[in-house]
Amino acid sequence: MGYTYVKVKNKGGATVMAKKKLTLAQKYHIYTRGLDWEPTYVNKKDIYPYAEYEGIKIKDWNKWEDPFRMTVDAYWKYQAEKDRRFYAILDGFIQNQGHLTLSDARYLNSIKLFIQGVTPLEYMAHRGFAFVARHLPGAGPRTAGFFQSMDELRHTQIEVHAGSNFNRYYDGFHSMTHMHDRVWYLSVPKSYFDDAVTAGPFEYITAISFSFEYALTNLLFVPFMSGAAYNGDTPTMTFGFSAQSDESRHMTLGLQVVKFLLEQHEDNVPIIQAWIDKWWWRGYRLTSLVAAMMDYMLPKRVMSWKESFELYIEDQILEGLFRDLEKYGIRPPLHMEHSIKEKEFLSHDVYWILFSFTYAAAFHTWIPNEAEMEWLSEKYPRTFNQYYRPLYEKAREVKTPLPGDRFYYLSLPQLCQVCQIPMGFSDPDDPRNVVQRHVEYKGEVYHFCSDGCKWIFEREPEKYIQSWLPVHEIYKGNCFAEPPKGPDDVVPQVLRWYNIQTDNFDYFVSEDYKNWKEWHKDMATVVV
Amino acid sequence: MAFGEVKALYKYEFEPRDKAEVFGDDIIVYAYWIDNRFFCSASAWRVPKNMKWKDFVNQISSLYGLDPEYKNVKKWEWFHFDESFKPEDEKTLIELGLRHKSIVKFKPA
Repeated sequence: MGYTYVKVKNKGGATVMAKKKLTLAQKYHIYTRGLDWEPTYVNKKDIYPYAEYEGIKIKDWNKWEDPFRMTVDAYWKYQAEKDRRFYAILDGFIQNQGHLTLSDARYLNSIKLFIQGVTPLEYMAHRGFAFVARHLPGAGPRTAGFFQSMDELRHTQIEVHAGSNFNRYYDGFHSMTHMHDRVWYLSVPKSYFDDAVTAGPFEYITAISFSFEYALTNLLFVPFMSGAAYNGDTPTMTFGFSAQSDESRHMTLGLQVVKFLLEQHEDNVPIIQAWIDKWWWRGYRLTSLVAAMMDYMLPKRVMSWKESFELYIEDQILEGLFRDLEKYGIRPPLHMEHSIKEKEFLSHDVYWILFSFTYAAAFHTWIPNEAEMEWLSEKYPRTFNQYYRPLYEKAREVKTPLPGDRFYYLSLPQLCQVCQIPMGFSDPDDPRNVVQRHVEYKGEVYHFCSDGCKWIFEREPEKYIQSWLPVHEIYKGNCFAEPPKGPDDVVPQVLRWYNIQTDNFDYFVSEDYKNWKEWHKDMATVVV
Repeated sequence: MAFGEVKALYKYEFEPRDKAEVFGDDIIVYAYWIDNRFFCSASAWRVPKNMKWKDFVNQISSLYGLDPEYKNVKKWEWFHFDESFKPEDEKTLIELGLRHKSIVKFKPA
């Protein structure tokens, strides 16, 4: 394609057909709207069975303005070029033993979290957008969904390739998909995306394109990609560059979707508002893992979680985006105020959870060294020294029988029924305690880490009573490689079922640390 | 509290995955040390309904005893959810009014 035929007069004055190159806009129209048709012998409702049940009313799909005009041929060309660049840089990094020039092997624990927790979500996003591309009755958004579906698959592939070079040398990279379906802390990202893909196409696209891609992506990507740059991780940084232009397309789509739905019918406004309320809190809770990574796991730090939250959420999203949306009758998400109150606690709470249960995690944690403690107290003058430094001082003193000269939490935690994170979030009004909420539904009690998660449950309880909570599943006997031979064999059998081998425990008793020291024994760069 | 319904193409109703029946003669009980953030969250335990209170306390002390403060406390004040309660050592969890997914909280008296 790329050409059309037009009627022209030849020299003799006769009308003939001539080939004519299409403009980009014409080409785009043919590739998208031109591929759509009105069914004649099948009912449209049978073709798009998911289009109406969510209550969204669309008067005219033709009012959809394409936020970007990308044709399939241009897409292939462009993405292939980006892939060539990415793989050239990756090959160079591998051949030059680039992993040895990282700031420190501790850095890779954030990449382990990424590859286990985020990469499988890219794949789920690929599936989710394929669903959107099939089931939205408008040709324009279907095309946008198709491109994003392809993007997400490409991101999955190149993240796996970027991570696999580290797998030869370091723990925690070997079983990402297996672990994603099983390991306790990975049920947090998994359940988030399962929640989204089991919704209808309109909720899915609001949840992922708008609430995640538009409102939260910066909070996720900037720390990972800048963190990679600061810490010498060229593969991850190059992946970031390769994904950046896709991400900006995704963000544009997110905003366009929400504005289109709001403009189509006033009845859509309360539905969209409720989805924004739900998916803000779901996404925000998910990014708390990023908060812990930013403040604790990067040997060379980019900025604190609090600074990042103030810049990307308070300045850009609250003061920018939600001011723009006021005219549609949309207000900032419910529970946003609580996330602002939590900003001085969140990263510390979550790292303390990860630290406490590192014996069952496929990454390492460690007590921050003195310079890092200083950085934390400078960035968090109202909370770190008061509430968190004493925990690490005590953790040094309290020994357990497990490897690592420090404390581990030798039991299982209470999990939130909705976000599935251990219920360890500080009450900003009473920081010596965590927030605990519960509700009774059809004779059973359910517990929540926050008013946000409780509100989400109460809105759709039948969805969340099905939660696969890792702690309860262990207690039901569903997570053992073989039946435990006694109480001391319970955790080992769970770890075997998770396929956690030497991936767990404190960094300073890890294979990673031992090897790193060995590889750098003649160099003065090892952190001790 | 009015609960919402899940919008779906069919009647959307499910059995709770972790309902009491699934655990038979056992229940899940959560324990939480008030004002002590050393334990990042409440802990979860699968225990027999007919376990005596003293045995339950003994079991959870395997965790809470890790904190050096624990052995210095002579007497604890207990709460069932947020209600003050006075457990007796020889009574069972059920006799004391605990149920599946109860939370007991404690602090030095």
